[in-house]
Amino acid sequence: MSEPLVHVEEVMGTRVTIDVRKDGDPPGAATAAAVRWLHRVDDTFSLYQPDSVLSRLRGGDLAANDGPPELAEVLALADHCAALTDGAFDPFWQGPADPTGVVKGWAAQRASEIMAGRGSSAHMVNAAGDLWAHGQPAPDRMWAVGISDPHCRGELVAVVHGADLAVATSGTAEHGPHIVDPRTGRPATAVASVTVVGADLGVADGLATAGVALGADAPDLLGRLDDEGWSSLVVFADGTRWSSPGFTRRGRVGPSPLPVRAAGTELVDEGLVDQGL
Amino acid sequence: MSTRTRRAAGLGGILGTIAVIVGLKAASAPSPVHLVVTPHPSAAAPPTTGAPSTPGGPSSTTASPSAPAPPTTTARPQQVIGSAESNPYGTVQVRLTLLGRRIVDVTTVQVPNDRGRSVEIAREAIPLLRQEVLKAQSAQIDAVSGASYDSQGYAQSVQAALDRARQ
Repeated sequence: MSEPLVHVEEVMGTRVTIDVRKDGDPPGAATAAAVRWLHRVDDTFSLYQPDSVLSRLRGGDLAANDGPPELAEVLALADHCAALTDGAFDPFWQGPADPTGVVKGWAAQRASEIMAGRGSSAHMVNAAGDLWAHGQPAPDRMWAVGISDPHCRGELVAVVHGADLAVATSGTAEHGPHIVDPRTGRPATAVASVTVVGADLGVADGLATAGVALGADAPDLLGRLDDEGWSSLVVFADGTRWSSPGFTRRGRVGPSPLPVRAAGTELVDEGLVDQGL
Repeated sequence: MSTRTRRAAGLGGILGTIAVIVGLKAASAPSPVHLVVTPHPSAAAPPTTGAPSTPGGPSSTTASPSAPAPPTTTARPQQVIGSAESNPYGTVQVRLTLLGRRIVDVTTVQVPNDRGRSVEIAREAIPLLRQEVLKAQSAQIDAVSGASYDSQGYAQSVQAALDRARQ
């Protein structure tokens, strides 16, 4: 097995981390292909580039049918999310189609498929916290994905375990309220973060965004989607939490303090002292 | 969200990124400038980058009330200084202490110190970010979902130090 390798790429206005546990041959080729793909997605869907495909679509200079296949795919995904969420994820909320809520997750998922096609059988593509974990990190264990506590930096509210797993989290913690409830047109503030786990990162991304938009009503929708394979965790602005039955089965959902917290590396610091550092 | 959290978000690292880069080799480093490697740690590896020496950085010996788990590796500790990363708030530079592939400590070599507001932010944010780096690699977490903080300078300096350590 090749040496584990992590690649960090600044792209799509964020930072994508590709963590390769089992590489293809030649080493690095799968990651390089994924990186090329991510930049192509950026060029296609950037709203900061006036000549991007999406900008031209929104400006009326391009018909959806005349765009590249990726455009149709993303628009279909956005429609699918809108249907799943009864419109809480709404790509048409402000005029022309804006599927950017699902692009990041979709692109990361496709990047993983490209890597798998080039022989990488275990890797994770993490687009600033929305991630797809492909295969298993080791024969004897699953991936372990921590869900960060929106109220307490550096702490986790849950750990999700699985293989071939999408984990998407949307929230208001990092950038303040930036998701709008399409029903009221006002920023959604009742929820601090929504995490959705499932088998497709594009959909999970859209569902998590919809959950934030729905605020206090998020459990109604997300509870129904649990039956369709989408497990979710909601952390409300007041710190209370709700999780769907499937999420509880998949992960350890904390009452704080979590087991995770008990194993902090401050313990290792003492080892340092012992070694005379 | 508390004031403390909001302030911390102003400075620098993506927790998910930090979690994943820990202990592994990175293929692309964001602009590693001013790298200094001290292959074996003397107690105070001096930064030879022209940076001021550890102004108010967190102590490197945070004791924990209970310590059942000694380091599992027998590798010798190594200290590595990351790149000096500039952002609108000032310059951030970190020093990592590695034990094998594990980060056992992060201290700051440089923090924003020229403007009052930045100093105020840094005083709170840097210790929080340090905790994140340490905690993110604890307990076998492969990655973290949901935290894309704007603390890039810190993350980049950590990244660069890791890259350097593995060359």
